[in-house]
Amino acid sequence: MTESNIVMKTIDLTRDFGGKVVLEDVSLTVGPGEILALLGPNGVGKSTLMKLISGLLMPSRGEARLWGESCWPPSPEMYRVACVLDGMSPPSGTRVREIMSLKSCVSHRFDWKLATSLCEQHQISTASRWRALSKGQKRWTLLVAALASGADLLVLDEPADGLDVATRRELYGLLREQANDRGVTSIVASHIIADVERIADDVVILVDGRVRLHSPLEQLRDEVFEVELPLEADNSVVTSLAEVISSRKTDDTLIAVIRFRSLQLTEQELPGEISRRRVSLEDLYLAYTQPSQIQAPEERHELASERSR
Amino acid sequence: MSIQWPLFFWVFRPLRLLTLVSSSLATSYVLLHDKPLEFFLDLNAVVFVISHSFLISLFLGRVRSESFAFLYSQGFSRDLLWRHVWLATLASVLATWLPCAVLILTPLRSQFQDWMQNPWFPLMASTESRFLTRSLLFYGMLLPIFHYEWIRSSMPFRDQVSGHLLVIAYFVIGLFLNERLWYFGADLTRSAMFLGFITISVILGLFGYWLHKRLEVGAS
Repeated sequence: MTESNIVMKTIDLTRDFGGKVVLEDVSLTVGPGEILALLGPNGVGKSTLMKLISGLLMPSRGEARLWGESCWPPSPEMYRVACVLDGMSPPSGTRVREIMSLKSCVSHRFDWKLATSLCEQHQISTASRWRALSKGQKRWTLLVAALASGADLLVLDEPADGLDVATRRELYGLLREQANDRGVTSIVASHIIADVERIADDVVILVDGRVRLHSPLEQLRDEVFEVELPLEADNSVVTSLAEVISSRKTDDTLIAVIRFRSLQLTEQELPGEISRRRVSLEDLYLAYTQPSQIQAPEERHELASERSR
Repeated sequence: MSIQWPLFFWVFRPLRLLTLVSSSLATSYVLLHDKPLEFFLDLNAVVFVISHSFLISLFLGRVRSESFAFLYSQGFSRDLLWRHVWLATLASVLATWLPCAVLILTPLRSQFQDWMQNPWFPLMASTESRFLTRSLLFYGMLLPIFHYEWIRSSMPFRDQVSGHLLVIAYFVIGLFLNERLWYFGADLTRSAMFLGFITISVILGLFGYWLHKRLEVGAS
């Protein structure tokens, strides 16, 4: 990715509220057509980061840029950004048609046909008032306005909030379609990790306002493993090849989530007493955010069988 | 200067009821008031304009509401939003005073008062057009201060100078100087005070525009 085609870049982006630092030294880069999954527990600064990118908040330090232009004060380039953020909704008496009309003022590329058909598919009449819509319909209406806007960057905070499984899949399918067809970049914050795992190109995990991980998802899939080894075994082989993200001990074994320092190192044979398996993004997320919550494989099997029952 | 009508109607939405009420009140007052209308001598009219200006700013400046944040997150430039805030403001003022202007200038008010056997009319009718121009001038002086105020109060750095305090201080100083300046003549005093007020309005209006570009939205 060259400097000229970077869509979004943050440099040491920091924001505090009344002296409490919510986001600290966040440096990220996103290219055209990428889908960035922004993960992290509640209150780590995901929404603040999105508001900073959307030009709604002023950074305390550092800078956020869109297409090379600083986001603060909000640049005229903001018409190329469509946001669906928490805590922002139209007045209760507004009709769906008015929301679409407002969005069509921002961009001449607004696709009325797409907006109408996506609303109709979900039994949302454009004449409906905001207060008459269900939670899921409200969320879908805002998403439709963003998707139909022809924006080059979508900033979506918990877009799946209130949506059923089928609609969530439809949404993520549309995001992928827009990324492939028009090179639309998406920044998606979500707690439903299994959903974003299907579509994300890059993953960012925020912990305590700082970037704990920023990596392409494909690379994580190849490089991150969970290893299990007897307590008395020599673990220096593992530590020499990989970064230990989290570890926990059981009576006689050590279970660790590790990330190999490079793709080539993953091909190295580990001693026989060390077993390894691939981990899901959800496991990786837990490893980064709540190391003590990582379950031993047998516990996970028990949990899975309990759920299936 | 382009007007985005959907945006205009969106911004004007919170002013609809206020405009309806203010228009009804002003029209009734202008029609039924049985004394000649003289703006700065009529406390009711002065209080009405102050209240109307204040409420316009209050309704347009609900910075912490979800609908305000929604509008500002839609990708409109701050200049366009600011322009439409002023257009909505102007629409509310004109919708309130146009019917009054029609009553005074046609002159329906004069006919009505004459019909009510009010001895002042139609003799006084010709002087009342000044009531309109002076009330609009007063709006022009107040609204930049009130609009500046809601923006200032929502900034993270609230130590910006308060428009209200500035105006109050101005009047206190004005009253204090009034007696001393009277020596130079009433017209000069009045002109100096008027120019002072206009200067404050213009400066705060420009500063409000500048701050609006830096207005934070959705700060938790």
